[in-house]
Amino acid sequence: MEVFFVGLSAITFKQIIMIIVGGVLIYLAIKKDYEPALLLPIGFGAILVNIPFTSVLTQVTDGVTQHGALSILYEAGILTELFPLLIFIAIGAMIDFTPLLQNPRLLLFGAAAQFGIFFTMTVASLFGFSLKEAASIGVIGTADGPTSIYVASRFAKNLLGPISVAAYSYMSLVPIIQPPVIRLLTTKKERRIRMDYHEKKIPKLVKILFPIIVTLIAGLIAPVSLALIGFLMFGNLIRECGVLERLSNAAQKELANIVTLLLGITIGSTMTAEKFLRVDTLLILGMGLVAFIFDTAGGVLFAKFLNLFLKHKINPMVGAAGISAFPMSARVVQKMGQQEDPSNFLLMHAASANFAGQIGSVIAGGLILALVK
Amino acid sequence: MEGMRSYGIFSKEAFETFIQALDVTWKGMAGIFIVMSLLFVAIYLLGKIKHQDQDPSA
Repeated sequence: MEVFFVGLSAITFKQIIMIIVGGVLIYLAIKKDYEPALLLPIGFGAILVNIPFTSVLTQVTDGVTQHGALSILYEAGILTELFPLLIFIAIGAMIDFTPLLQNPRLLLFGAAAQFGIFFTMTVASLFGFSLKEAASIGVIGTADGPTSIYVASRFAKNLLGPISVAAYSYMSLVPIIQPPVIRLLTTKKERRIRMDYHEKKIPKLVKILFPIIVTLIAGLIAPVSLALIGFLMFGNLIRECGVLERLSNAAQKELANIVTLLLGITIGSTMTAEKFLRVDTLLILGMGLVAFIFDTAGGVLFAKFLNLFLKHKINPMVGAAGISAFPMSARVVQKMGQQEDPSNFLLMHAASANFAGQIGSVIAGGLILALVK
Repeated sequence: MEGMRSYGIFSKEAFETFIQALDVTWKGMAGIFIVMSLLFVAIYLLGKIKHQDQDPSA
């Protein structure tokens, strides 16, 4: 009979905590709708790997190696950086950059709202993390899960679990995190600023050239960013070229769904009790929040700075949408704008800044890879 | 629960890493602004070319 209780008798207190953590993530995904496509597989993966003698992880028993499915997926998809890159093709195929092409000056907000990444990196370094670990923690502030995973898989594989959980959790919490920061940094008068919107038809040629030009510029300045930006723009080129509709649909649906599924559960497999239940995890979760707060502040304060020189003022809230969390951040700005003035429509401007944030976050990830030795 | 950080909090090594992080910070922010500014110029120029194409007097 003992054989039936081998798992039960071997389970540790830490593993029980991790199974509860997995359950909480599943609860948040189902009940609160917090990034369910990622948090549910991550949560279930966390449960799978914290059951003693689990066969989903590679185990050595009596000198014989038994390969586990999640260990194989981790080696094939995360260590090779393949899963996040494939996700980028899917994301690129989903994005319509038209609002950004109509209003390119908002590209600068995609740069300013990356401030939280670097601020958090410096804070993390003071807490004793190595530069590579601190950079990986800072990249939570890209508000871009695949970039966070990509950088962490290169620089800090030991922190991959908590960084991924923080990145996806805070992305879903953008509607809670951003409004108080925006209110703190803006006056009521500033939040009521109206911005004209003129819809402009963007020629197909421009839409096709855009991903190629982005790839060339980003790649020539930071070649190490090419894997990130190149796959994102490849997906976008498939979408915009007009002759690969079938591939574009496959990238947006089948590829996105399959890789998201595998990515989530594989990230969950890194959440073993001995790796996750550490003081560092709490620090990383805390610093991830700091990154999102200072991203928002960076965007808002940059807009206020620009307004010192502009005749037609920018609503500073639009700066907050310069993070990558699309469309949550744009919706937050639109909603806050309408709370101040129901006839003020900021959605298209905020969406433009949000698209800029998607490009900016990937470039930031690439620059971190290039600059941190 | 134990930590796995490389150095102690606010230790000498941490301050040295902090200085390196500051160096990466200014270079990183400058790099992002340079890339985004170049993209802005590229999109602006693309818009101009199209505008000239459409201008019947051109």
